[in-house]
Amino acid sequence: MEERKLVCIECPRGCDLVVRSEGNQIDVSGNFCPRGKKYAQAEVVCPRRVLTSTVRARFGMIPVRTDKEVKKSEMMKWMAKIRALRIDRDVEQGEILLADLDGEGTNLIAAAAYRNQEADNVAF
Amino acid sequence: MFDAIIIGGGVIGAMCARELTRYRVKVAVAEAADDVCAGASRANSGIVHAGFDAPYGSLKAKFNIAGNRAMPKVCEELGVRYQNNGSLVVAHGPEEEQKLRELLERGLKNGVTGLEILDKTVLAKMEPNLADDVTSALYAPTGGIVCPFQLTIAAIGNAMDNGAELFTSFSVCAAQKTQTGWKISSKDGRELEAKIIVNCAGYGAADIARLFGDDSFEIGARKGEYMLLDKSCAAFVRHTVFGLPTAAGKGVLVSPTADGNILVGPTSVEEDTYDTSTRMEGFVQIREKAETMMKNIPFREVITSFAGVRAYCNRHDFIVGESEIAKGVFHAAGIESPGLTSSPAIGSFLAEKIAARLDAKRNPDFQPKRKSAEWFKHLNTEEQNRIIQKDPAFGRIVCRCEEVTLGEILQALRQNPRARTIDGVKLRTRAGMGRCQGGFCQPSVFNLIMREYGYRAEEVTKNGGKSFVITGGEI
Amino acid sequence: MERDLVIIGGGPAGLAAAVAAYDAGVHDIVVIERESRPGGVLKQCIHNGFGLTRFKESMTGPEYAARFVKETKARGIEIMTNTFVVDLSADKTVMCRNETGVFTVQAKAVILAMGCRERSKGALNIAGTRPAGLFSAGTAQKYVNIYGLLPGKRVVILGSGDIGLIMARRMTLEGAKVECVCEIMPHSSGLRRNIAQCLDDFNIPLYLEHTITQIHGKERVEGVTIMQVDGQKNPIEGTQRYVPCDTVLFSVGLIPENELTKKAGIALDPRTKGAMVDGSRETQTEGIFACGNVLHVHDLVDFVSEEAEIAGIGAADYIRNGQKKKTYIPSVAGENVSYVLPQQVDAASEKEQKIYFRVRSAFRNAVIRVQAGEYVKRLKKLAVAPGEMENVLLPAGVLSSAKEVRIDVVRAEE
Repeated sequence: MEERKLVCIECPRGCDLVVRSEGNQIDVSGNFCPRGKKYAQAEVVCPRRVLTSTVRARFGMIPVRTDKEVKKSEMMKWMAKIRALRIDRDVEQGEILLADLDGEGTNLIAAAAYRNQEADNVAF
Repeated sequence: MFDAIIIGGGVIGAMCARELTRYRVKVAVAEAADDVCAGASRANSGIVHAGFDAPYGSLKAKFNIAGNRAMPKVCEELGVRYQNNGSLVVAHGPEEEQKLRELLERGLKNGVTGLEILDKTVLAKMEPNLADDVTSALYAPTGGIVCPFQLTIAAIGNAMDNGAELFTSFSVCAAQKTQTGWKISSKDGRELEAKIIVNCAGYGAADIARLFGDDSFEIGARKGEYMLLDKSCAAFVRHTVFGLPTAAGKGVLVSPTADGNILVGPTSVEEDTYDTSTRMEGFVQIREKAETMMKNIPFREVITSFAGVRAYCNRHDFIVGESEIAKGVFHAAGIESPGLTSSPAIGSFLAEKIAARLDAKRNPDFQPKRKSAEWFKHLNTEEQNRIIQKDPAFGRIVCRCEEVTLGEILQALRQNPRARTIDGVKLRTRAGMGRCQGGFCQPSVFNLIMREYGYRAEEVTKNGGKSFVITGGEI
Repeated sequence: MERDLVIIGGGPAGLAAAVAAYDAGVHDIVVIERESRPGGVLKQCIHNGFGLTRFKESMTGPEYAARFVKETKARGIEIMTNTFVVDLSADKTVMCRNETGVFTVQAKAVILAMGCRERSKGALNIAGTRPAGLFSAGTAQKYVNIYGLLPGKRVVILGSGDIGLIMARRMTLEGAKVECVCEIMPHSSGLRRNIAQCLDDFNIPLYLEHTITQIHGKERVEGVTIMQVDGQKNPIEGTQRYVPCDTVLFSVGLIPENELTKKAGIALDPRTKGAMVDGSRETQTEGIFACGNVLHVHDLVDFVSEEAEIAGIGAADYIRNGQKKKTYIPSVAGENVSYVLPQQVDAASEKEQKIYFRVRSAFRNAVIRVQAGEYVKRLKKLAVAPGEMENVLLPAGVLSSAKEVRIDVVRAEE
């Protein structure tokens, strides 16, 4: 039997979780809510995270996030794809900027609207 | 070919340059750093000393008294913050009071006016936060405070407006006698020629002198560490409060600054090299010493700490005048305290001597006034509104702690001597000098420098050289 | 210019207060924002995790802000951007400056929502040099997320505040190597989940009871000396370690920006560094309210929004109905409590009242004890930490006979 201690990242409460796994059986304790159990079970099998970053547009940076979690082990790979992206048009919040980022159907979406005009983006 | 080249863009070089442009003299200023005001002028106490401390008959005494008298008008012409706040030297008990009387007598001989020794009851009203065991103090009503970087920058700017040329990053590494004067070369291979050289190189003055064959003096480095407190404690102290001077200098002081902060320091550490790093024990020393003079100093409100290196000379007095070895080379060397105070007087003294040597006439077009870096701040609401209607940039605040507008920052980037670094903008406008220390405005100033000069992000520096702000490139 | 309600600050607090005041019946509102867009610091907080408490979903900062901007716009509330409040007086005159000039707005009520700033490196008195490459964590965040520039490639972070932790992850994802995070306290000041997902996920070490004692490098940072500290936060001789780096981030605390509050002569609480307020978030100056990080530093924007709504409703009530007669009793920070907010509560209020507080030190199996006259309540809590704000709800009516409200946090008896 394997035992792992985790801090739940599902909410600011940050529960201390203990995960005991044996074969396909995964027991979780220390969680305050069901999300903690789900998180811990996923974490010992294949940890996943929502990836947030920015994408370079002509007159500024657009904040972006994945609409689902991606594999934690592959985050750096997807960062390279995000970094290579260039935007030269108006973008609405929630718009897909890169479809199927990870080959598992996860899309990269804009977290804020962007107007492709210099006057709208000169930051002070 | 210049008539005179001033080596060093600190406050002494700045004042020499400005005073020389009062004559028909073609002036250049060669500064080793990427911006003027890079050495001791940038990190000192900002005090306009009354003049009671310098030995009677010394050049220090002479120039101190003259500089103290000249300072208000110079600051008015250049639009530099100056305040005649008066100073106090505090004593604890009879032994120290005897020393106060000696200082008083020396001051009277030097020509300082208005000096008096005040007792505890009077002091309690003047400066309620003096330490309880302070028994009396020497009061000098002619003592003052000035913003040292504004003074330096404004004087060079004014000299440039009157025709002087500034060469930054010009680190003088060789000098050669010519038929008419001297040729100097910089490390990056540039050359300048002039009839007269004025050595105002601060800590580097002895090295410069040696390039001209003059090894008659040595310069050492003495580091002084300071702590700067937030403007919110401005009411804590009104006068410049000193302890009794020692062999190492005037010691730690507690003083308001011309900009409304409170300055505590400096320490005094002999150094072998030019090193402006601060030490933990330095902070401890500052606190201990300051607390013998004042009580309940609000050290919680420290917004920054820093150190400056003062040059001191083995001759223990200023060296001002023509070299006895290298003809045509004038020194303003060994300018330790009270150098800032003395600067206008040293400048006009040397300018007169050099003009006589060059047989130069007065420059009738000399314009003594320079547009203050803060002209906008001093306008009333109605006048500010009129300016903002014409130039909306003055309606945009960039630095919120010091309330510096976009208009003022653009002025600093465009007015002589133009700022091209983060610190350059800071020294000229105070953007980034407030309580958040540039946390909010630094990226904005960075962006403005980039746009003004067409720099790439990787080219913008904090303070010239390789002090790049961004070293990770674009993401 | 005259307005019923002037809100100073268009960040999460100001926007939520505006919406709440509008919905409470005051429509003549202006929100004054110094930057070119509303949203405050959320604009650069591109990470997710906002809104979990309030909306039960995980949003990024820009998304959370956009939600409130949308609500504000839907109500036609004016947001005056690029406008800086220069002065505020107790009679609710607000002096502003923008590209049209300097002008005053006379308000019936004012809500202070100016947010906070980062404690700077300068305040720490760290020995050594002052080269390029030293950044407040939030300043680095602005360079990365707004300007798309990476400050450096080899990073040491001082302080385990949330922004520092978030930047450790962000800069790692952008290719920087974060050598370590040093925290002078024996516990992190950031959220536990951020230690897990920002440091542990990337194998970034967190050194508790460690600090930077010296900065090296002339032009650009070249390294730092880190040392372990004792219980009095004094460095322990012999523990010096040199860590090469080209960048140092400081995440050493946030300070409410109360310069305007001071100008107006409003009473401040030295512990929160914000105004003293009552349950409606009214300061001790009539008709001036405060909410969000300008009042006390929050760890979650969700609570900022909640508090801003209280202030918005309070201000609207004041504008519509005038000042009510209030019977104040103080709220007292008891054992192991560093501060409570509001600092005074209206004993005559018929509403339930939420009291926020922070503990002084972290421990497990805590009991929160609330006392108000006859009313005593004990709440068990698995763990408490200074980095995480707590709250208790006082039921309506329990205060009528109380002289004070007191909160203690003690260890549960075994």
